[in-house]
Amino acid sequence: MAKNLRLKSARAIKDMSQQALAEAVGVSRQTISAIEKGDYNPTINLCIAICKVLDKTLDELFWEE
Amino acid sequence: MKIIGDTHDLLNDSGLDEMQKAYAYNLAFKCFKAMYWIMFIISFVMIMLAIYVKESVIFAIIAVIIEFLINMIYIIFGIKSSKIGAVNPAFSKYMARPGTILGYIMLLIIYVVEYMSFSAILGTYMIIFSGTFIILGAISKKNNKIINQAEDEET
Repeated sequence: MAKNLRLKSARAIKDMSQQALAEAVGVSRQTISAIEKGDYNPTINLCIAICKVLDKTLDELFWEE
Repeated sequence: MKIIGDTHDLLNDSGLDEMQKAYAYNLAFKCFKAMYWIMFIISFVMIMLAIYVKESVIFAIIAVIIEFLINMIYIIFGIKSSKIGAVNPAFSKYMARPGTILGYIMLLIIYVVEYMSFSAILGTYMIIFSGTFIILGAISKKNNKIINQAEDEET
């Protein structure tokens, strides 16, 4: 699975650390790290929660061209 | 005083998020599989040693108890996973065949006739063994029924 650089940059734009995003969506920091590294494929519920916190759409963060 | 249980247990999943749970469950499935086969081999070796080498009754009874317990857990796993049609498709297709179930019923009869007169404990062990597969055949039938129902609903 490819790295999710769009998630990383969206988080950086919001000036959020992995820990802050993790707390906002109710998961551990390791999970956010694993998603960004492409090591974990999150559930749709978690994807939606991340999108809401980062003010992005699912397409913008998770759709692979 | 806190009793070791829910919170002080390695196999407790509370506090884990979805990624950690997914990883832990995957790992647990592999460990369960390994434990099943290890215990099965141990019980088989124990009963063979007990009957053919040592002729120790206690040893043989322990083997039967182990065999019974692991097969009970195996069957419970099958029953639970068949409720949503999650039994391994290749396995359930093979096990649900009338020929397969009939084969295991024949095997059960042979075990009863052959081993019961030779050694009741060995006979019991073999009955548990073949009986498990007959039950798994029924479980597989149920699993396939659930899958077919889901396909019918879709169409």
